[in-house]
Amino acid sequence: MRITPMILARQAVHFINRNAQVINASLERLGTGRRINRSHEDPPGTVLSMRLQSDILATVGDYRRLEQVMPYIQAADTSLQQSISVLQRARELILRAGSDTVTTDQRLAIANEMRGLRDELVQIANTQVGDRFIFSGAAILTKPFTLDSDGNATYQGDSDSLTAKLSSGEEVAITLDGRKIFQGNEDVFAVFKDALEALANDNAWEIREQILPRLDRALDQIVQASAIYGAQANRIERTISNLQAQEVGLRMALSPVFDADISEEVMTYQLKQTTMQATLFAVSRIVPMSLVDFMV
Amino acid sequence: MSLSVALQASLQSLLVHQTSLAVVAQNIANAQNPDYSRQVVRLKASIPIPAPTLTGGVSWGQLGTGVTVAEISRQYDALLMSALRASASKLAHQGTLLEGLERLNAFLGEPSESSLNALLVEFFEGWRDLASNPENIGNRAIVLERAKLVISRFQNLRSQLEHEKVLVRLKFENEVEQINLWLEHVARLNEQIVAAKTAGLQPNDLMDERDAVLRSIAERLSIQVFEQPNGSVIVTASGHELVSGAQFRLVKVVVDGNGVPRAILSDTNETLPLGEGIFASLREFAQQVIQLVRNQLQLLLDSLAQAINSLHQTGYGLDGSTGIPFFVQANGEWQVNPEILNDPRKLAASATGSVGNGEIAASIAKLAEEPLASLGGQSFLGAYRSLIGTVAAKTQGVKNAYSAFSEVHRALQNRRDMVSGVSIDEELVDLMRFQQAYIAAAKVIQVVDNIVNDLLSRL
Repeated sequence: MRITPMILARQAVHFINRNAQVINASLERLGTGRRINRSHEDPPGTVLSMRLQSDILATVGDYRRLEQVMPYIQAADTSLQQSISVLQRARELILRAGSDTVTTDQRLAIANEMRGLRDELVQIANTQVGDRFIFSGAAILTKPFTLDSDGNATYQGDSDSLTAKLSSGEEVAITLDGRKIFQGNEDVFAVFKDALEALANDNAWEIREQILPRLDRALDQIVQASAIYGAQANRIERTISNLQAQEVGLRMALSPVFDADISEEVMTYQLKQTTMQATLFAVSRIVPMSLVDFMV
Repeated sequence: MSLSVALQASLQSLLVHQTSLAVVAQNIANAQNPDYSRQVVRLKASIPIPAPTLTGGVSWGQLGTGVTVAEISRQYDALLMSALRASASKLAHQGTLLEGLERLNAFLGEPSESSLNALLVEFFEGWRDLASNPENIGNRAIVLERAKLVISRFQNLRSQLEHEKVLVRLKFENEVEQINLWLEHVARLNEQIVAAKTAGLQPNDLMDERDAVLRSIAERLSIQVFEQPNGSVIVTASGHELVSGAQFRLVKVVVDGNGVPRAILSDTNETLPLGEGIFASLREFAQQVIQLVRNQLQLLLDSLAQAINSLHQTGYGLDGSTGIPFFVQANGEWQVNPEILNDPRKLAASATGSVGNGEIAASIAKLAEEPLASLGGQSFLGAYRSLIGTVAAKTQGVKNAYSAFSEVHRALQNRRDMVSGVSIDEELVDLMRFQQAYIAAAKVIQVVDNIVNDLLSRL
């Protein structure tokens, strides 16, 4: 086998080139901190990391959307608690007014307070967070309850509700159908209207036998709604912390695919650098060697 | 008589070794010429005297009369050269394909935070945010902005693909022009080689030049080379004769409607089978890669626009408008409906007409990972990912093939150099050998001269 200088030169260039390519790839991974810098370096890894990246973005988005929902849930919760207090106070008043010992003047005073409570309740039912009325269903920009001069409340909202949509397909209500809460089986405002009429008519029997049970049912109705939304608030808090864990999990799954293993890269880099130095040393010594050097 | 024979033999030796030294000098001069084949002087003893006869004469045998050059032979292995040409075709094929695919991957730009995948994910996230804030004009503006970005990225990719097609066509045309010059060159060299051979000369350097040109042709096109007894070669591409003796045929380029080039023979208009090499590679890139990616991207954009439109048209805008498509086509190009751009309230996020209903926006957001019939049951993002995966896998395959073929090619080149390459050390040893032989022949002449002088002075 004849080995010519051309063969030596070709081999030298080839080995230098091959080492340089590995060093270059390693340098690129170190420089960008990424294991995959071009899709063809790892096609399945590329597809997987694209999928994981979109899952991470969706998870972060869900987290953000749920955090935006929180103020609404809290406002709804507070409003329902306030409604319960109002109705409890109304119940005390009605209980007192139902007694035959109460005078007409006292009933008038009670009626005044009842009117105040009713207005407060209307105000609560018209609670706004930002621009949104939280008890008007999906008609979020429409004030849900208006009271006419006779004390009749009309619901202007709808039976839908604005919901936050999560990437999992789960939905969380932001606004609620106010009619179901305040004008469900028992129309709270009608109870107030009838109570005020009964108070004005001084009809203790009606107050005792009819208004009071209706008020109790109205109270039950709101307590139930409050329990449901309280449970939802808990669920959202749990979901938020799940999402945080999920994001960490996704990032941990992405990391070995997408991120460069720095310590491994440094080792590869050093190893290849040594190989490169050895190659260059050998090339510099062997290639120039010739019989010419020994001829005089 | 014998003294003059010795003088004659020595003179021949001087001349022959001068020739040998000249060949060594030529070899050393071309040591770094990759196409050069080493030349070797083959010696043979010249015709002895006297010719043997039946009737007496000298009985001890024939007397040598010196040395002559039998031929200056070219160290060459025809089989190896043909293997090198085939390997050059393969290597150039994969190399050109790899170059194109790497450019394609670079402008697809996956995986990265600014790629189309990222834009699409953000686009769908925008819809999901809108679903939770359907009355918010800001969220509407974000969806519209992102939609414009997605559309413009699709258009950008398509125009880059069109540009690639133009590049492929131009390169193909350049290469064909080049190969026509080379085919002519081979025909000319055939002519010169035949002339030299007829005159009894050994046209070694012309044959080296012809091999170099043939290898350049082989990089473009798979060729078969048949050497003829008179020294000329016939070059064929899958049975179509390109060069025969001093005759050659020109090649022309034809580009079809999709920008896919092919080569035809200019005299018969037959399509030239390309085999492997730069031509076939450019054609494959245009036909299989660019066309596939372009069609797939178009299919993705069409399905996206149609799927979004069919949902959007059933929804209601904030102003109660309905039946409006989200994307419209103008001059065959998808764009965000200008009606909605002018009035974002017309964006139909609501399924019922209620301000706070975001069901349509939510359904559109779900398109991202929902199987679509128009994409063969793949989801939109899934189909895009599998397109990227396909291109990446193809590139990886070509890259692996390229490095395997370059190993083979390097090994073949080394083998060729083992046969045909010049080793300077070997030439230097020869140089010393021939120098010694020259000195020795001169010494013989000196000795003969001394003997003759001696003889003359004593008479």
